[in-house]
Amino acid sequence: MKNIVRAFVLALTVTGSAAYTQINNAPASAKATLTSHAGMLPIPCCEPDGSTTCGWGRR
Amino acid sequence: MSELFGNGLYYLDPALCVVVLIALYRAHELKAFRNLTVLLVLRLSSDLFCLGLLQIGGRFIDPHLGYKIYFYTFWLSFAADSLLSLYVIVNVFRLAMAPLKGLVNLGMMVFRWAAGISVALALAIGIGSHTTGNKFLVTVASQLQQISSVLTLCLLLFVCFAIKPLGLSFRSRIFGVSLGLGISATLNLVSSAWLVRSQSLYSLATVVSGSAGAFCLLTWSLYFLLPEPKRRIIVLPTTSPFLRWNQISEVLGDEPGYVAIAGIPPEVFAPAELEIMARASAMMSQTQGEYDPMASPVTLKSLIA
Repeated sequence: MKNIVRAFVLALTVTGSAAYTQINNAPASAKATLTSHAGMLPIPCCEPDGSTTCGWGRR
Repeated sequence: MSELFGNGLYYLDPALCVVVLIALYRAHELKAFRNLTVLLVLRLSSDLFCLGLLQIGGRFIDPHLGYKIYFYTFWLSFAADSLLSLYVIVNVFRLAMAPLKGLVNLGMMVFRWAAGISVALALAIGIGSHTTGNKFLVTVASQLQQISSVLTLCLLLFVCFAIKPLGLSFRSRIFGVSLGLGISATLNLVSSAWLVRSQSLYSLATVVSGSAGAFCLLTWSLYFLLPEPKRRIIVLPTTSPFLRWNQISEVLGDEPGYVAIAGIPPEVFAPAELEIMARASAMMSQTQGEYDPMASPVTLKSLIA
């Protein structure tokens, strides 16, 4: 049991580090929007003053 | 499919937040995990507000105005959420290390430096990218979230591998909170790496990040609803590096004592102190040559007499 939990935690850490490296290797223009929210709300990626509203009011 | 799944998740988040808050209250852990409580209350409030806005959509207010309000509410609460996550990490670290006070102080000193530099770096990246107000907010919030995710994973690794010397078990709530944070941090980093310039509010990456939040909240609910085993008595070998470092760090930063060695005017002494010193000096000069400190040591009693 102890080893399973430790292996799971190690897997989480390795996956997180790999994803973090991936984020840092992304082009600078995309980095600003490369983020995710711990909650479940839709992520607003479009400029609030832009012409598009990312599908706002579609639902 | 993702939209359908996502719609369900939007409502699951505030519901799970309420469940965790109730579980925290029932377990009488609101005070011990106060930073987590504040984080959950903030998330619940922002969820309810944003969900209300999403429901209104473009029906009652102008879509551009609605999106603008949603944008700022989302990103400001996101930045606050990331900062509060750092405080939750501090809270968990303090609770985990509670029996080793010296190491808490040392760890807090290291953590403050790491967190301070990371926050400064997040701000510097935001300023350095020459972005406008909106993009600056998004960049700083994203950087803060990534920093708090990395620090969370470090904390989880530490708690997991130092669990025995800390007297904890894998059923302890301290480990449960760290595990929940770790799952959320990993899935957030993964979905952040995946989310490349999504131009839709309802993308699959949203579902993945939503699932991260759900997993995290479910883990916390489970740990706070189930009874926690008592913390074991911590027995460390005398050669344990934990014990040694704790002893060293307990004396770090203590105020040292001071010794006056020269330039002392006689006025600073009380008359009684001067009298004792004069008698001691006289006694020393009388017994010079035949004075044996082991046979007749100069004591305060003999000086006063």
